[in-house]
Amino acid sequence: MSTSSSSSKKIVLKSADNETFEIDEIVALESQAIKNMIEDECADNVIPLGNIDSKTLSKIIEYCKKHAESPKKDDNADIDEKAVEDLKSFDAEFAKVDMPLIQDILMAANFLNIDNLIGLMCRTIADRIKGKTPEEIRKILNINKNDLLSPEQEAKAREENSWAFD
Amino acid sequence: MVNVILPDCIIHDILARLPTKVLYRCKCVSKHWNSLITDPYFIKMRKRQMILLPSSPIQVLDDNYPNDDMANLMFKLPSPYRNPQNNDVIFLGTVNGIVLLVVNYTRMILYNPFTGASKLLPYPISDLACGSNHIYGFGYGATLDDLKILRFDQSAFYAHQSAFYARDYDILHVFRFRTNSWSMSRNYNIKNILIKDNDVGTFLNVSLHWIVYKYQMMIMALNLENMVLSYIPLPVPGSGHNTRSRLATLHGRLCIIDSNYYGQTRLFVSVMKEQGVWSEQCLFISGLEVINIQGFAPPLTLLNDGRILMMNNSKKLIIYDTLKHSFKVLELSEKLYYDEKHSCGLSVIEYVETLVSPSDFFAV
Repeated sequence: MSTSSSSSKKIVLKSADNETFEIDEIVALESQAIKNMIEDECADNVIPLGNIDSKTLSKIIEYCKKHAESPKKDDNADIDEKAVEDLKSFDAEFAKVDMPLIQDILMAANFLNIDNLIGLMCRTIADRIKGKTPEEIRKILNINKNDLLSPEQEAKAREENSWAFD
Repeated sequence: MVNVILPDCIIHDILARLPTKVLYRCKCVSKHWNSLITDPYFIKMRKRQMILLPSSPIQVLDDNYPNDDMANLMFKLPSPYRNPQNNDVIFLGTVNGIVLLVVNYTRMILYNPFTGASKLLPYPISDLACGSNHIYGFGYGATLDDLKILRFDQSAFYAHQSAFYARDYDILHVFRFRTNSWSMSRNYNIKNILIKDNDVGTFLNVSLHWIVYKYQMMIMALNLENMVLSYIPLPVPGSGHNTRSRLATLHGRLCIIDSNYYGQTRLFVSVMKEQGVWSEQCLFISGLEVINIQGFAPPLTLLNDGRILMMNNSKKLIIYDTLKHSFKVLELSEKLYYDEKHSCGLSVIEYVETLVSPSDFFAV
């Protein structure tokens, strides 16, 4: 953490497994949900996040820190391209995690309402299932086995959409 | 955490980012995914813009961001008519995601390329002596209630003249969806014009537009509200225009795209600012040589976001992004239907994916 921010206001987040994370308020504001809580003055010193484990939460904080530090698009029309590229490569690196963690991050980002992160995770999942067969997609995303189409329904769907399976 | 169950809005967000071909495969993933994919709200929100190519079987270009993998960029669709091989296909236009096509000059079909649903329309019977050269149009006047199809036929007298002679088109067939029937009129005496065989009108703001040669190149416009015909001069009258000139729409404005070749493919685009008033011609030197496309690659159409679709003589399809000055080159697996002699007749259509049924156009 940089020294300049040590004087700024701090927010403490507490994960499901009772680990606490002290972060700058500016980082926490990346979450629309936390922002609303702070604005409505219903945030205590410690914000408990009962459905997010510490592994996921630390990833989320890593993401929010980086994005809070980067110049925002609407701040200034001609932000330098290097910053944009830098953020892009950060996002690409950030998304290089296994599928269960991606889904956990996605659920947490959805709960905390962090738009960019939801978009990044959805894009990552879309990219990973793009070249896959339905069987592989079920496996990757751990789809409930009780929800499969009956063999007849599946055969029919495959026949009707055979052009998509070339 | 294990076994997270993603909320529907998140799954929709993921599905919306998939190319159409992948989306179709995903219908088989589970019952729940199947129902999410076939949700009309989802398809409406996804608003995917596709490009239809006139080949038989029909091909689709899914050139949307993000879709950079060639495997899903171009694919063949199931045919809305029997024996899809070797038919002449002309697209007359699209309204609300439904495409109107003419197959072999004998069948007119309303087609939803996304769902595959189709509906055969009656086709006006023409005097055989009139030949098979028509002028087509598809559009509406004030409201969609006024949706109609037009076909101008030549008078019999000129029927067997060569393509390079001026002709008279004095029979107009109009199909009205409101009444589900064709009517014929001889009130339009379009005399002595040269127009591409089976040319299709460009529809914009209640009017259809065709490029015609009548003493000089100009635009023939038919207002579908009052059915009055008028002529609009082209930019720089008498120069720069040729049989390759094409009309298109760009952000809701009519524009004309011309091309020539002097060692390089050069493209000229003019936009009509208001009735008969044209913008300065904008010149693009394509620079296709950089990606090893030698020879002339005339434009097929200007897409509505400003990208230009071109095809060279080795039948490579080129999507040229004029803003980024970047190219995508695609190898066509099916020959596009077009008239080699006049390098015309090729109508490329942009449509938005929809679940609307072709039958919905008819009054109940």
